[in-house]
Amino acid sequence: MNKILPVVLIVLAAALVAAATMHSSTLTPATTPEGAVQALLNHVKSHDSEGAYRYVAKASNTAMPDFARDIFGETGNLRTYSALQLFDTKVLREGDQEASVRANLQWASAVGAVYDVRDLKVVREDNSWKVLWPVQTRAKVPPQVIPVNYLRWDIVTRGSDDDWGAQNVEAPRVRIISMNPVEKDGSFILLGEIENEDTVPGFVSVSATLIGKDGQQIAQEESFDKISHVLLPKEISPFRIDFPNMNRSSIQSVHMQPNAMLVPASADPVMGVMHQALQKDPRGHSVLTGELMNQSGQTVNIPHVLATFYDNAGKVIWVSDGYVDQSLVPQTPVPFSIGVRDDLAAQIHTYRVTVNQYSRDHVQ
Amino acid sequence: MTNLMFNLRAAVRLRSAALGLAIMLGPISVQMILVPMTTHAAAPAPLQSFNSAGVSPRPVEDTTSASIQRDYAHAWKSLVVALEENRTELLNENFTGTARQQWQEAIHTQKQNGLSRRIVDHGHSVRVTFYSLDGSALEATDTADLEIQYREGGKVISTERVQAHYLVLLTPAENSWKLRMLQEVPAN
Amino acid sequence: MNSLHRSIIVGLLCTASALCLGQVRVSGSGQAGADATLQISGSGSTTLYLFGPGGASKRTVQRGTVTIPGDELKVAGRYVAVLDDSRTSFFVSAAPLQKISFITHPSRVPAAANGAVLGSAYLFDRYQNLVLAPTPVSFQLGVAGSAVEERKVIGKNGVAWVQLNSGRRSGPAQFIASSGEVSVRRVVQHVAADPCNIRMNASRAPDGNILVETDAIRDCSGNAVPDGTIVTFTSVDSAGRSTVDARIKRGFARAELPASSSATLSVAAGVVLGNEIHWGGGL
Repeated sequence: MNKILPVVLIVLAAALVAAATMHSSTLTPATTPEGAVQALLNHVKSHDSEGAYRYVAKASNTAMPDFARDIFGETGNLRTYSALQLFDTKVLREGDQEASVRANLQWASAVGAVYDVRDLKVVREDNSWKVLWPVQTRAKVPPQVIPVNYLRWDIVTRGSDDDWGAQNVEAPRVRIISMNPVEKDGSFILLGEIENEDTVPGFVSVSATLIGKDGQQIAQEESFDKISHVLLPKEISPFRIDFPNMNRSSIQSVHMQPNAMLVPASADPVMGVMHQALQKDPRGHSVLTGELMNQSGQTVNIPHVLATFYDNAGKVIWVSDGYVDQSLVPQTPVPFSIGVRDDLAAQIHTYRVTVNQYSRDHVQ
Repeated sequence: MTNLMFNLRAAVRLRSAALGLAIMLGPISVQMILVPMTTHAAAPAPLQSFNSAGVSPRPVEDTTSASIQRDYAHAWKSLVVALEENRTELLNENFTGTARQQWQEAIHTQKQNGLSRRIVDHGHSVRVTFYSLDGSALEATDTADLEIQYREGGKVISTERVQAHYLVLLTPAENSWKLRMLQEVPAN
Repeated sequence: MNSLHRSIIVGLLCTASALCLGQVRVSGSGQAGADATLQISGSGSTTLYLFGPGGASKRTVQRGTVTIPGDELKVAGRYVAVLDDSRTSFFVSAAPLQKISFITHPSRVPAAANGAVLGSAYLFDRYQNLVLAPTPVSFQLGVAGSAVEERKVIGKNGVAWVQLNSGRRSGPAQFIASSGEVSVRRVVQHVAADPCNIRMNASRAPDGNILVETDAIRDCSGNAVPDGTIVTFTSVDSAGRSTVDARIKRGFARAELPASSSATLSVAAGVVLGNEIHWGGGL
């Protein structure tokens, strides 16, 4: 008895481990449209592209590799550094053969949470529900040689043991050209724009210190990624500095500190932002949409879009930003959409979009 | 007889108590005498006066003025201790450039010859004479009331009390102002 | 008054007087690096201690004339000589000017900017002592081939400073501080100021898009705005707004905007706006 019991336990444990690690080779058909979407997304969450693909309808005309690239990313784009963390689904419309299901997705990415809303068509196929997942095939850029002859800056600074007063190069001159403090949702927010007035590129950031009624410092924050950090000569970037849980009434003054330092940089790539327009998304919220066009020969892996919104007096009334999870291959437009505060949409007279770029070869 | 016995007992008790107290307090007292208590280094005394009125070509901002006073006082405290204990490394934090080089060399030769200086600092009156437009340097005059003991080993060979006049040049470093020149000049 | 009383009075007076403390008298130029001579009264040997900003030394000397080598007196300041029970002090001043530490600001400056160039010259002798004597210093600033601006100032307490306008012409300007034979130069890069009168033209590109291109972009002094400067082209039509952040290349900026039958085209660099073009009638 003493010898049998351990053996039984070992065998049982082995069986449990095997069961846990064995992949199910059989498909559990989705009996409802919402179930199909949820099953697909659960497999995406588990990084199981094959399992997820089994819930894609044949009518999508989407090959498995294209589907996997669309879901899990390619060419070092933001999606390759992301994982589906949370989702919820809601049936919008359901018929016998066809349904529409809204999926709100939250991706955990290298740059924080990224939210996405998809209205998915679900169809009945072979007695089960499957999701229509068309993948837009991007036109291939024909092989070619694109000469890169834009300017590039490199820096040589003085040594640490150089004599006091020895020649040196200075950080670029930057200037805050506008600043507007607002209060939103219990936060005190500073909006504005900063210009690189110099003839050399700079790595720029803006910090702000709030001084209370008693003259003491009460908070200090930075613009973090609500700014385009590398500014070429005469380039203007918006900035936004958020002070959560801060009342304007407790603030006596604000001390703004723009910081700039010399960095090597390239004038390439050139980005175009086409067909920008204020629209409503499927949920009825205001968004700014458009297309990003990489007009150079180098892939931009992670584009970061910053939008500045102005009222009819030219005052900055909001700054939004968003990361595009697709990379920008040369000469190929990629759509983008960033949220706009609904309470401000009516006040927006004009806007300006800039693009921050991260390429695997260098940061810009 | 009873009274005598009582008194004797009381005396013995008193003596025992006294002996116990002495045994308890004795080592503590000895320790206090023989082993000085460790004290935390006191912050340097603020300057007696700091005058930056009418400075050209650039006025001295309040925050700069506060930093200069703090860092200059720290520099003097470091110099005083460095000259007394012949420790050149004490100058690294508050001195830079020529001043650091010169005073470290002075301390080095002083130590080589078995000499030292003990300074009792009775205060400084500083007047800013120049603050560059780009904020890269600040020059001032300092009238310092100093008592200086010149020593060989532990022996004092001379003592003087002087109103010493210095020309001071400070330059900003990463997070403080550092003394770049400390040159004693005649009163006129 | 007997001789004892007289001695006491003299002694009391002498203790009050530094000169009398001198059994020692000091002579010499009093300049850094120069020998100093001490006259020690009396006879026989004694121990001389010398404390100063340059160091501290101890030596056994024969009373009479003692020479302190200049090597021990390189640092300007007050030196204290101690021997027996007496003490005397003397000052060493800076040697002649031999070095200028020249701090200039900024290293790049827009052309034709008032008071934009700053220079501070710190005057030192060969031993790194500040030369305190009033010293004339000349400052010159100019780009090769254009007028040089010159200013002469008198250095006070070892410092001379100047504030100058930048020249109208872009290029590397030589900023020189000199006094007698000693001079030091720095380069202050004069760069083009803000673009002036940006003008663009628009034409149809072979692929149907709108090709926009500026004339040569210059500042108000005629200096070419450097390559790499951002120039933003904007097109507004019924489909929305399109922008391209182009870069100046070889003095010009160009970009392709999406094809449109009717659009308003504009151009800007920094906060400077250029002309507008109403393409196909515009909006």
